[in-house]
Amino acid sequence: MTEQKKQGKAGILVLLLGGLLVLLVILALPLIRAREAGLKAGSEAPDFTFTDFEGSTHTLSSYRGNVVVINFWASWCDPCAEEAAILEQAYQEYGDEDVVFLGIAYSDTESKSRAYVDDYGVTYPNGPDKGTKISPEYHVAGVPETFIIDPAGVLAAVKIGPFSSLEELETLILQAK
Amino acid sequence: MPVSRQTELKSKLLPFLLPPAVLPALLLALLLLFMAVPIHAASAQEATPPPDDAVNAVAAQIYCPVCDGVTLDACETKACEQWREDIRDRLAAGWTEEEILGYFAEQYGDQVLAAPPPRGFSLLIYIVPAAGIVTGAFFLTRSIWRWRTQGQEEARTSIRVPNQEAKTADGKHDAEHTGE
Repeated sequence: MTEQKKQGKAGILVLLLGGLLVLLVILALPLIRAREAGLKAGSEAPDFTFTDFEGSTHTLSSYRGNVVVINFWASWCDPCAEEAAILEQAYQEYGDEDVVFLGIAYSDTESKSRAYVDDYGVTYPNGPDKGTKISPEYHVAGVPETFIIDPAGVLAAVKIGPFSSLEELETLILQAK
Repeated sequence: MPVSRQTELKSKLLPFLLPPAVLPALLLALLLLFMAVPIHAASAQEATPPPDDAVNAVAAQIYCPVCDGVTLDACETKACEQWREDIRDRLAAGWTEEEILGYFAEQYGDQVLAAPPPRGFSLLIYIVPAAGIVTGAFFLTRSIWRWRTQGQEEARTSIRVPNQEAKTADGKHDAEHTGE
């Protein structure tokens, strides 16, 4: 076997191994991302656009200058129902004070989501995470999860699980202002 | 009313009056019509919902939104229960399996489908195994071919070698006999 042939074979082998490595990295990336810790306070809030159940479109970046409270919930989630009244109460108190409330239904059926909004008297904009595109950006691993964004579009606080009291939510809103 | 006036009125209404023989038939038709409406309504209400098997056949192709790697048909969470209910409603409304799967993919993303459509990142799922099989087959064929060629080469060599060895041995044997 000549030296040239040997070199050619080694090149093919390196190429194959390299391709395999690249493939493994591509396949592993989503898994690594999924295992990454959730968004931390101080990081920039990922921008998104969603359409609420009334048909209005909301883009996060269009609310710069306001504190934004984003609540991920689902009708099948009992703790979400527990905090629904707290969120609505906060909306009634701070909704007129440059605080925007957005509710995003996570992996929920539309009919049940609408019924939930009606049943718990939620009046701030709520809509589905169509195509499950927003929740992965926020590393939502379960519901409820609430993200409070400051007027500069930076994540001020993350609440995993339900709020136990209105005061708890109020404190986070006031800190973000 | 005078007779002449009555006759005049009758003659005016005559085109609108039905012959006596038609009247019972008309009444019977109306009666049947009124009876048919509730029967139809009842049959619509009592329309049997899609069987669990039909629901599970679709549910088995969709992943639970809150568990890892569990399909809807095998999951007891409230979320899955609601999704199965949604499938049942859509089947009852006449949706096909493909339409329901398409709807779920649109609402919740391709990742909820057990067999994601071959597009975007999911395309790799279909390409990688096929490429692996083709590459494997290529290397296997090449190895077999080489092995066979090498085997033939060795067979030829092994036929030659004993003769040479025999010759050498004979030479040595002869030399021993001759005392060289």
